This record gives sequence, C-alpha cells and structure tokens, in this order.
Amino acid sequence: MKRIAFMLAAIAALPVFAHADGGIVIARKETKDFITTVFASPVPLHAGPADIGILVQDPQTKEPILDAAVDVTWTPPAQPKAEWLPPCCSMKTGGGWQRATQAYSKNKLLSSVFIPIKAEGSSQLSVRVSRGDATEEFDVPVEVLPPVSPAHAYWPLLAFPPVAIGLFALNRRIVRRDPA
Amino acid sequence: MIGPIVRWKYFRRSLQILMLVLAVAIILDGFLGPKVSPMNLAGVLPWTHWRAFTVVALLGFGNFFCMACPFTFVRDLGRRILPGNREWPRALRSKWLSVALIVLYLWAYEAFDLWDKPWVTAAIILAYFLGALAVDGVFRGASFCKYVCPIGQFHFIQSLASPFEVKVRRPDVCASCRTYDCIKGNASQRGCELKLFQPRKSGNMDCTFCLDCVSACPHDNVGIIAGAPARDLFRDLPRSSIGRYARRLDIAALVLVLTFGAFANAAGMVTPVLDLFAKIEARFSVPDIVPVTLSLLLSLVVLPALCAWACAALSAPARLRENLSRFSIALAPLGFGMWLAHFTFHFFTAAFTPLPVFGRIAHDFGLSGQPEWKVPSLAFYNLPGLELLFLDAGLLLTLYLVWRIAPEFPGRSRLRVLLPWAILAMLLYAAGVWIIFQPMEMRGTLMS
Repeated sequence: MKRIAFMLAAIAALPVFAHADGGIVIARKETKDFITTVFASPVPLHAGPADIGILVQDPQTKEPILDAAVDVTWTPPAQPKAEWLPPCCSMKTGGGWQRATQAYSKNKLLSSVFIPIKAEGSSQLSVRVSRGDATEEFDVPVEVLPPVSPAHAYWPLLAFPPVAIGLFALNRRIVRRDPA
Repeated sequence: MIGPIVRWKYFRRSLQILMLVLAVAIILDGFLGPKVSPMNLAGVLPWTHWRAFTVVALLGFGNFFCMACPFTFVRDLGRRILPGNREWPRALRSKWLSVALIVLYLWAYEAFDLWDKPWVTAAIILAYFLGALAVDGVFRGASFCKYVCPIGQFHFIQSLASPFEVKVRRPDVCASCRTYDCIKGNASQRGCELKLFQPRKSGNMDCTFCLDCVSACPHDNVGIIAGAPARDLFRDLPRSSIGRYARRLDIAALVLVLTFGAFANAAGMVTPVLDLFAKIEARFSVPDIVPVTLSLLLSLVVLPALCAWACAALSAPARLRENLSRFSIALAPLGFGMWLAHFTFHFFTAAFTPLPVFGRIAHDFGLSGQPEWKVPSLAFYNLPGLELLFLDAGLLLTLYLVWRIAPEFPGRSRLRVLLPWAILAMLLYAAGVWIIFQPMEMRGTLMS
C-alpha cells in the first residue's frame, strides 16, 4: 500500500518538472501571413544562455510552416547592469540577428537558437519571420533576472561526488558489519 | 562485426594513410595558407578537433590515435632504407625525456601561442615526422614511441582509464606456447616493438594498439578486450617491460605533469588568469613570456613535486618514494577528466570551424566561391554540466583507486594512508570546477 501511495505521489509530482520541448510560451502573434509562437527556456529568464524556440504556423490551416526563415535578436536594457560573462564558454555575445534553425530543435516543428542574454533588467527579444515576400517582425518584452550562480545552476553535479563518496562509505560499513 | 575489420591486414595502414593525408594537408596549409589561425587548417584541426577526437576515443575505446599514427607509418617506410639496428641508450630507457618534452611543449604552447601560428604548427608536425624517422631510423624497435614521443605518452597515461585493452583471451593457451610470436615476431609479422610480452602485459601503458601482436599470434589468442576502466591500476603486479608502478618514479612524474598540466593548460585560457598575467606585466614592466613561464614552472614542476612529496611524506614516510610513485598513478583519471572537459568544450564550441577552411581551400583552387565564415556553434546550455560530469567521474575514479591502493602500505590505518592523496585530488577537482565556471578565451575560432 505504501509503495502504491509513493508511486502515485511521484506520478502526481511529475508535472512540476514537465516542460514542453522548447520551454514555455512567452509570446504569440497572429498576422495574415503567420501565427508565430515564441517559447523560452529557462523561464523565468536569467542572464545567461536562453534557448528560444519559434513555432510558425499557417493562419488558415494551422499547419506548421517549416521553410520560413526565422531570426532572433536581443536588445539590452536601456541602462544595463554588469554584463554577464558566459561560464567557460564562448557563446557569441555580440548583438545582431541570429538565425533559428530546426537543426537545434529536438522538436523539429520549432526553429531554435541559443541567445546570450547578457544583462538583467527589462529588455526585449525581437523575432523576424520571412517566407517568400511575406515578412513579419515583432518585439517581445522580457524581464530578465540576475544570472544564476554556477553553484546554484549545477548543484546536482557538484553534489554528486560527496553523495557518491557517502554512499560508498555506507556500503563499506555495511559490508564490514555483515560480511555475509 | 568490428572484429574482422580490426583484424583486416590493411586496417591500421588505411587509418595511418588517412591521417598522413590530413597531416600533409595541414603542413602545406600551415606554410602556404593564411596566417590567421581560424582560417588555416593548421590552426583548426590539430588544436581543436584532433585533440577532442583523441580524448573521446580514449574514453570510449582506447589508444585509437596511436593506432592511426602517421609518424610511425612514415618511419616504417623510412626503415626500408635506414638501418634501425642500434639499441636505445640504456641511460635514456625511461620516461624522463618524455616528461621534459611534455613540460617544454606545455610551456611553448602558452608562451608562443602555438595555436595562433599556423606555420609553427606545421613546423612542429614536420619536425615530428623527422624526429620519428631519425630516432627509429637509427634505433631498433619503437624507441621513439616508448621513450620520446610526448603525444604517445599522453595517450598511454590517459588510456589507463580506457575500457579496452589489447590482451590475451585465454592465459592457458599462452602457457603452452613455445614460439612467443607476440613479442619475437615471425616470418610474416613483426612482434611487439615496445617489448610488451602479452602473457605478462597488463593495462594500456606503452601499448600503441598497433595490433602487431594480434596479427603475430598463431593461436589467435590476442585481441582487443573490454574491461572496467583503470582496472589495471587496482593491483601493482610486475608488468612486462614496465615492472611495478611503485618502482617507476619516471612514470609517476609523467602522470603528475600531465595531471597538473591538464589544469594549468585550461587555467591559462580563462579570463581571471589572463587578467592576472596582464597586471603582472604592467606592474613589473616585463614581457608576457615572464608570467607565463613562471606560472608554468610553478604549476608543472614545483607544485606537482611538492604536493606529491608532501602527500607521500604524510601518507607513508617510511616508504616515501614507493608511496609517491604508486599513488601518483591514481591521479591519472582526474587529469583525464580535466582534459576531457577542456577539449570537448573547445570541440562543441568550434565544431564546424573546419568547414569554411575547407571551403577556402576549395576557393583557392578555383573550385568554389568565397566560403561563409560564420558557422554555427554546437555549444549547448548544459555544456558546463557535461564538463563537470567528466570531472566528477575522474575524481571518483581517482578516489576509488586511492582507496584500493592504500592497503599496499600496511602499518597505518587505511584512512591515514589515503587521506593526503584524497585531499590533493579534491583540491585539484575544486580548481577544475573553478576553471569550468570562468569565461574562457576561444582559440582558433572566428567569432561573429
């Protein structure tokens, strides 16, 4: 009974960790040529690398459009605080439009790109969708929180060695006590 | 399925020829191509891709890149006319020469920005071909691989944690063998040039995966066999041609230099360290080579020697030298973890950089238009996480080895024997974590 209750509780807790591929919807824009949905991960956005995914659909059929050119850029706040420096990383921190592609998406209906969000504060993402003669561009205001400290962002991996050592010590203790 | 391919007579030669073609292309482009390293094969392939593929191959397979070594291929060609019949000098039959060359290389890499000078890279590769040819053209066996080649020593040490090993399948078959073809060779196949006698060989140290022993064995009793990584280091039995690690101070020095070198090499690219060098240059009005030289002297020679000596003195003062030699080997997985973290980082961030360089070469030959220099990066959000995972695995394997080795020094409690070395491993790990979280200079990459 306890086991079943535990399993049910675990299943009930799962949605807490569930994210759609590409993150959470932060904007949706409908025009005569496209329906554009912008996903972001992580949400809330922190200064640092942000995974931006864009779903482009046909407004009539609602079918995904896979051959549209999708570009994304980030504009910093008017008075940015200290710039975020990528951790041991050389992500392109320069501005300008960056092409989102399906190559970087697990969900091939989305076009994705990593955008380095370089400073906290009120800033904006701009999305441009082009296909044939049709081009649509719009801005998405975003509130960016301070960068996550490495220790906070990667604590499971930092905790892994002490936990493994602790479990190993426990194992040895049990084996010593009960060699059989 | 892989077995027949590996056993195919021309398998190794095919790999070597492929690597030779790449090496020749790199040399030519290094001397004749643009001086900007990200636009030159010599600035891209050896420093970013080859190093990353090497460590990934060592992690997943074994010493694959010694197997594919183009230098020994040219050496084999040269031996058709060169004598190669003298014995390697007895005084040099150790790893000390290699240790000195590795220190020299790690220093020169930072001091002269080797990655940023395609013609220097080309010259080094050319010198390597000539060195292998000269040494093995005069001396018999694989003296160059065993006693000189710094790249080979790097592979030997990192392959201690590899999951595959060239070894005998059934020891009882070797017990009844009287021809010893694996080491002596026969009419159609030479034996092991690194003097590793298969029945007494253990682990990957000094094994170039040349598979000469596999081809020479008339009983088909030698193969590439899987096993737990670093299993060979659990016990210190006498190994063919190597002996016991506890008596090999030279191998201990090699491991220490490569382990501390892993951290020093990565630290030399992070912003806080570069800023510190700049401040020292400004404060004392010295050229940039001074702080680089001093820091590498400290981190590659002074610090490893002092740390190892202090750990051995605290661990088992009565058997200091033996303790130092034996426990130093245990640091190899941690160093490997750091090399993996470092090189895979460069690989993911600069994975596609050779494409425009090949495009430029095609353009130079009039085969295509101007290349698109802006290439995407494979850097992903959790790349530092992957690096940490490598470092975690390296630390845990090192700590496990330290725990396994400690009973070899009885008379003190196991904890007391292992603790100094475990603390050293954890301090190095902490340094690695710090490095991973620093902004890193990108080398050999055109950033848009």
